[in-house]
Amino acid sequence: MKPPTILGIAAVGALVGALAMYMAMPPATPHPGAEEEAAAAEKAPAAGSALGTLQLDANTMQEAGIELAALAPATRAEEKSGFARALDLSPLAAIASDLATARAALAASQSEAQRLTALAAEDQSASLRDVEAARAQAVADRARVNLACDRVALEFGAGLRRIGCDAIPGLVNRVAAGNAVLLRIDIPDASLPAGAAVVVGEEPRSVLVRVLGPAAMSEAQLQTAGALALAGGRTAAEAQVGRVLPAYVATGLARAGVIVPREALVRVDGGAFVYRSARHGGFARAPVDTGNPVAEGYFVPEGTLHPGERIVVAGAGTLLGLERGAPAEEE
Amino acid sequence: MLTAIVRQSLRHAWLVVLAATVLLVYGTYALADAPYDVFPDFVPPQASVQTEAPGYTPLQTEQLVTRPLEAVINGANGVEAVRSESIQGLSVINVTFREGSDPYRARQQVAEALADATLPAGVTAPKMTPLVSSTMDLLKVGFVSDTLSPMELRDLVEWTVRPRLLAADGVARANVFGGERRRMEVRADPHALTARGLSLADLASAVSRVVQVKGSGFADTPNQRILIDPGRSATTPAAISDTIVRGGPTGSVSVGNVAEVLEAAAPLYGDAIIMGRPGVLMTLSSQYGANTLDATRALEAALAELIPALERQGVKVYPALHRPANFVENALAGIERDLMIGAVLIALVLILFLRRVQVALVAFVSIPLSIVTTLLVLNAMGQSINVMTLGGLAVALGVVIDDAIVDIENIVRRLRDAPPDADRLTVIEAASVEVRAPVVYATFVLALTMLPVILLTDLQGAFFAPLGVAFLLAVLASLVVAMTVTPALSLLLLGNRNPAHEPVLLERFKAWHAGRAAASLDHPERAAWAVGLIGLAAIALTFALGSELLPTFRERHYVLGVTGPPGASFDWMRTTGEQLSKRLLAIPEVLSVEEQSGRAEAGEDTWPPNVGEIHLRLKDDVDAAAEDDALKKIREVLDSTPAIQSEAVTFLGDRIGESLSGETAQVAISMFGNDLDTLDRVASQVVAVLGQVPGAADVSVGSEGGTPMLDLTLDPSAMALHGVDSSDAADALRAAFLGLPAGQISLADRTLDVVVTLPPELRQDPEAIGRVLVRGGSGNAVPLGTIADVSLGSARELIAHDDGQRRQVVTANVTGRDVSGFVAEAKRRIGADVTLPAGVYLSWAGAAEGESAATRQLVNHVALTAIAMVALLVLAFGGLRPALIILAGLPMAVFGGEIAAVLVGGVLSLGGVVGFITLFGITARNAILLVSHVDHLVAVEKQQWSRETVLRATRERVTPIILTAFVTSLALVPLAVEAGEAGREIQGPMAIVILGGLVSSLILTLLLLPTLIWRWRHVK
Repeated sequence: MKPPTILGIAAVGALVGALAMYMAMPPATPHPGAEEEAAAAEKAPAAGSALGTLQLDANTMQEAGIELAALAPATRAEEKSGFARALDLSPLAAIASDLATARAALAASQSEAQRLTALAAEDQSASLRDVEAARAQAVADRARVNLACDRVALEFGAGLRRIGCDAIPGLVNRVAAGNAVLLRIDIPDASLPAGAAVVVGEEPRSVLVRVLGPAAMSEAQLQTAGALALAGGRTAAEAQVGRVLPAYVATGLARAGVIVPREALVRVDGGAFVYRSARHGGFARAPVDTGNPVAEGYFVPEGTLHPGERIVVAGAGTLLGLERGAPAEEE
Repeated sequence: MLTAIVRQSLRHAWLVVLAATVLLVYGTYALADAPYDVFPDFVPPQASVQTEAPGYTPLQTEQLVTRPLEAVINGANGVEAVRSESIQGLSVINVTFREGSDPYRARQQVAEALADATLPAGVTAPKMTPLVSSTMDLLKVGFVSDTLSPMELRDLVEWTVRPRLLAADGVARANVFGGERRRMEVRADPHALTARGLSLADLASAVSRVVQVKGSGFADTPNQRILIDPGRSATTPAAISDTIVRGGPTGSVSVGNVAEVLEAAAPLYGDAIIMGRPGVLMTLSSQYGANTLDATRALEAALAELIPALERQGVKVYPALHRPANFVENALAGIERDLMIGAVLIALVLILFLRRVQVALVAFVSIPLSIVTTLLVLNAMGQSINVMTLGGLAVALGVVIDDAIVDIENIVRRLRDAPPDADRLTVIEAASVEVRAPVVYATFVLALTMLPVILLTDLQGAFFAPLGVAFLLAVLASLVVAMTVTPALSLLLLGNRNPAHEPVLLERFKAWHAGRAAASLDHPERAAWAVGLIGLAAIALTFALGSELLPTFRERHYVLGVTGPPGASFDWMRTTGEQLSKRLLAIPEVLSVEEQSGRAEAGEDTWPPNVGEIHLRLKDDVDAAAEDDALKKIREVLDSTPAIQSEAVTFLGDRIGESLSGETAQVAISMFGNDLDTLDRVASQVVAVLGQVPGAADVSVGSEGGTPMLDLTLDPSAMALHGVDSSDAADALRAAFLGLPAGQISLADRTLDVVVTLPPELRQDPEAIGRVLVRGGSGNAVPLGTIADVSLGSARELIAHDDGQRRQVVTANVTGRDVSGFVAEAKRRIGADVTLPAGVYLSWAGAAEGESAATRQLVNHVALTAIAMVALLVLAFGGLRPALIILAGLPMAVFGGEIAAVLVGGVLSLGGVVGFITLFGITARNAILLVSHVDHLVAVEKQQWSRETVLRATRERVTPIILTAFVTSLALVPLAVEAGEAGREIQGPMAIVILGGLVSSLILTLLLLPTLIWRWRHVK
């Protein structure tokens, strides 16, 4: 074979091979799907995060189902809870009976001592000895009256003693008639001085009572000192002996704040947050103190959040997901 | 021996034909009951161990449950790999055994190993999930109702529908998602308990005593045995409320005094959305070895019995939200149709070329005989009839018919040339024997070329080995048929008839070809150069083709993985899922959408609440183009849904991905190390780099941290002061949020869990945990906040292990380019841009790695069999030179196949590679027959070695060569035309490669090969 022929065949073969490679090589740019990628690159990020603010485009806002609502103002005092238990006043009835007996005896012995003293002064059928005996009897009877009064404090607590010994029989009668009940209130980590206001029972059947004073003994399970209070009306009818009702006491001054619905909360980075509208559009996370749960959500004292401020009440979870997935813009 | 077989077949021709007829009839009946499935079992033997650890965090589960179990399982015999996931309340360990292991024995070994594990109190015993088939899913059924509550609907599905469907043949498992699971709650009033000096444990103990069922035995009398019924246990809220917790002289305290008893919804572990609204989903899995079609039909029959009653109760049933049998039916029907079309086309060509119906019939009968024989043998071997075995048969059709064509063409030619008084039997015998030896050699060569495929292991072996076995069996069966039935039928049908002349067109072609062949013989160096250059071009083109392991399957069913933000609740997933479902349903091609999130008890998918999977089914009339368009729209919907990570794969792609790497995505990059935070940092770097690689889609991290968690730090001195300990605190917490177990109520048809817990308003605020009362042994009660610091932190929702090592994974899918190319670029970029800390290393898995492994294995096998093939040819033809002449046709065939692959996309799947292997065999076969015919003319017919002898041999081989090329091509054309349709995703590209290669090898065989033979067969 002549060299030119050989070279010619070689050239044709190389050309065929090169053509085949060219046809099979994936193009550098663009390639199938590149249009999609370019479109995706233009579209993303749908959410951007700059300086803590999450910006969403209109489509993403719609798809995320974001709903905003204004924060409602509220006033709440911090409160602690415990329970109130109606006490059995049968021992108090016994004390009242003893008190009446002692008083009657005292009255009699006092009258006798006075009569004998008058007779002795007129030097009539009353010896000095009789007068001293009568006086001693009166003293003893008085001591019995005092003991009966002290037993109220010793067995029930100094708080009940403060209503006065004279009021005890009347109290017993009211309790026996079902018009009053003596409550023992135990609230851990709360101070209950005399006169403190305590709410007993659940809404709407709760009632406000005032603390009389401390109870006689502590509550072994809860390790609380305990306080006594009197309640009447409907509570007296419902709080039979042994019945336990919730009790709440405010532990500070009432504070102004807002109610944050539970649906608005997200928990991340060691705290709880809500999303609120940012000044220049978008949403920013604001920390929330979740120490005061209430039926409607959480009571948050004014400070970070203010009444009327608009926060996200639906779609907060989506915003958190977007925030985590959004690329941070270069500064 | 070959001569003896042919002779005896001719001597007993009627017997042979009768035997063939009986075989055909018997085979047709027997195969009606054969097992049909979509694919062979491709998942290696596995066992999944699930252990419930109620209330445990993922870290606690990992340390206290998963690690001890992994330690004992790793020691079991035959374990190949152990992967685990520790999530809230559950440990899941997936054990993969070595290929070829008996799955039942493997499960037995795991069960024995589990008995040695020591687990903490309160953790349930490890359970092995039922053994299921590779494709696993049998049916997904959805239930919705406007009249029944979620709890009633769940009850109905769980206690009425589920037992009935589980009883159907072939069903291994039925899991239920969604609705509300009913349980009996004893909601304790903490104040009432404290006032009465009782604890939650006291309450739980009293309740469990009254709900348990105890037997009392019997009393024997002289005449009778009297059974004793102790009375029913408490099964209603009222009965439980009346239970005495503590009695005494001052009065009894009943459960009702200190708690409210009612039926309520248990905490959710899984949820479901059916067609855009909350509902109940039942997923049914098939038993290992069960026939998908039969099991599906049995299920559907059982469901059909229940549907009327369900509808009367106001329940709407969606009976086929996912029905894998659809793909089986479509795929099998499609490939059967293609086989039939191919057979009809072959018959027409045979009649056209051979010009006698009897001659065409003799050739054609080898097809059904070979196919039936092959399927019977496969059935006897325990193989199912699936698209791979049918694909092997489709590819083998051309070879099957070629055996008969070679035989019958030679018989016809010899009969045509024989003297009128020649004995027909002798002529036919001689004609058959003449071609028998080279055909046998050619068949052995073909068997050798298929051996690399048959010897494949792992996933690729599971798919392609059955194809290779079916191909080989068909070829061997056709060889036997060609030696027995073809001569016998030829004698019976042609013994008294004169064969027709060849068609005029063929004669003209042969004349034209003779001129071209003669001209080529004068310039042998040109032929050599042409072969060499084409070989170089073929090699160059090889490097330019993309590759993938398996193509996308046209199931018309997609699995959309959806992951919400870490820590997302079921409520969030449900809201997002409903919106997503409605938008997907708005796509015109979509038929149904259902979503499951979380997990079901002993289910195959064990996810935290923020992970879900949507099964989307397209309408049955959606074709390939419409399906691609629908997938694009689906991806758009997913991409525009905020705050989710998502991916879209086909169901089979999902299963194949899981068996390759444990992940459903195409590419999975695992990071191994001890510190999870370090692994997270590396993962985020990898995500950033991977996202920049062109073609990346659905890039995501396997498990992220950031799930909110309340941390409790107990104060020992405060606990001592108040007389409580850490177990008291743990009991109080468990009662508050999870519930203290207090037994089960056993009813006639169901069981109800009973738990003691707190009222919902006391456990709806996580921060109120500090107010939970902790009760000590001495009776003291103290708020938890007094003895512990409570702070909000974060945790991860899932901790993954691979062979005992902590693992983080980044996954991605690939669009618009081949997977292997993507992986190669990704490896380069990650190697350059990501710095790995000490102790951390990466591992790549997924379809790309599977494809690389498969290719490496195939190349090794091909190299070995190439040596064997050369040796065989050397032995058969007495020298290396004729072997090289025969093999010289391969580059030409490869080049044609590659051009065909380029024209349809330029990406070669493993199916295409197998097509090349098949092409080798077919091309070599033609070359062997030509070389051996030349040798026959010289050695047997004593022709002189000359140009004319070579030209005569070539001329005499033109008809069978052309006919073989035509019939092989026609058998494959239906597959090639429908490449990409259901059932032809693998065989279609294979057919395209073979078709392209046949065209180029035809040119080689007719023009270049005779020249090479003339120049180098006998060098002086």
